[in-house]
Amino acid sequence: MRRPVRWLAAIAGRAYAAVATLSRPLTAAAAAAVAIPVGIVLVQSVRRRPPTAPAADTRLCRRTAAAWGAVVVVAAALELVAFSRQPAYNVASPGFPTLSVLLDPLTEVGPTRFVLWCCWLWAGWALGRR
Amino acid sequence: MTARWMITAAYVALAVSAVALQLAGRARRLCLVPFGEVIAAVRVSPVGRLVLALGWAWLGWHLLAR
Repeated sequence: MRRPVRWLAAIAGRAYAAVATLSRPLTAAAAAAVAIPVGIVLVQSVRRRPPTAPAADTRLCRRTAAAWGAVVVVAAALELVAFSRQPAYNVASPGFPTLSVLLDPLTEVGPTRFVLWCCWLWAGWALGRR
Repeated sequence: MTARWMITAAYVALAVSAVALQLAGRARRLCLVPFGEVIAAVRVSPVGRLVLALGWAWLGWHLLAR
């Protein structure tokens, strides 16, 4: 991607993150703020194809993917256990917190929410680009 | 020891494991490669790209919308 386009994308991403940071969790505004980039990235990731296959060692890649997969599976299991213990969809269980409940002080409001928005949008941009 | 304490400790252990995996991958130790190379390999297939995008979407919804 050309440098001016990258700069424009970075500025647009930060502006979007700044506006999205103002939305409160568990509101329609927050859901819409997440849904818009999700829609764009999902379409991009289905339509576009990376230009070349990586030259990484397949055996090492599989071993690494298995290790990361184990971390993801354990995290997902913890989330499911915590989620199943909640009294309602939008009511957290203090005894069995999900990851989002534990990170609430960072993700609910303030500069850390803005930083998280920026990181998430950057990751989406990296996934959706060629 | 409460369930909350155990779950928190488990998340911390997972975070430490993730950092250790990435450091080992970057140093090419334990027959591991950096996380980015795995992602690049997964992105080659359309299904892999879709799975990655859905995981990213879930993370955003979970941490930023709810």
